[in-house]
Amino acid sequence: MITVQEEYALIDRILSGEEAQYAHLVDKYKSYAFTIAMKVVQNKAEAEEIAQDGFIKAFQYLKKFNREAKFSTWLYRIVFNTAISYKRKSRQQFESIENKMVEYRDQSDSGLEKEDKKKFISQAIEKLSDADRIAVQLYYLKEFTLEETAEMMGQNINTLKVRIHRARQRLANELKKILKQEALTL
Amino acid sequence: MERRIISDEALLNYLDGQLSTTDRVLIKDKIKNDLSVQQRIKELEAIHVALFNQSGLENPSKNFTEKVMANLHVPVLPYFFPVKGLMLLIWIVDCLWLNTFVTDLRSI
Repeated sequence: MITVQEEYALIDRILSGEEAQYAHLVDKYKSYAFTIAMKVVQNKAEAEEIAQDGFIKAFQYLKKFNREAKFSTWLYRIVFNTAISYKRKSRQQFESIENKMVEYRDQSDSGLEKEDKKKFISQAIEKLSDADRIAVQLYYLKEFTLEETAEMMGQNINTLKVRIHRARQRLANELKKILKQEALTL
Repeated sequence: MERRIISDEALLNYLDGQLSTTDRVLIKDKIKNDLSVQQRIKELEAIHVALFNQSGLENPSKNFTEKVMANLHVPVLPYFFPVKGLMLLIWIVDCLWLNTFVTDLRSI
């Protein structure tokens, strides 16, 4: 585990020409970068390309990293913005997922099993707006503080808090509907 | 049915462990004695647990670092596929033209 100061020293070495040292930073942060990209695009191959592009951009703009935030926060923001940009371009052919209703009526009448409930919750998560879904999923990663997540997503911290609460409220309400439906079919 | 006076926000903060001891005791008491609060905390908790269970880190491919290191100086083009394709075509044509030009120069 390297400290922030050691990380800055490593960045200095990279900037002075020791490019191979960048592999240490890639190794250290690749899982989180990939996970963030996955949360946005929900596709492994695309997330891999986005995370790689994020690291390459970060390397190419390393001189501009002003060290006001942690390197990881700066990097994750680049990855996040790259993923959002990718999603925007590729989404043009798909319908907006905002405000979609969760379909649960086609389920069997035999009551809701635990696995079904898990599946419905997963489906409900996928139907949240992108911003709400990503906010709540990054929150549950428990790796970042709310401030870091807000910075990464380019949002005000209070807006982020509201998003996270609202997303969970919506999910709970969806679950309530499902459970009601189940009760009616008994 | 009795109207629930504890807000979702308070219950979510309870689940997140972000309440003061006093507020926590108050909410615990409400959960114990109020059926509507009990029901709501169950719904919110199911979501809380599901999100928590989904929150694992995911790993990229084994040669991820090598791929990044091999492309450190390759310009990252914006994600607008037709333009990306067009840029690639221009680059290929440019390389071919330059190659022909150099060959012509050598033959002079």
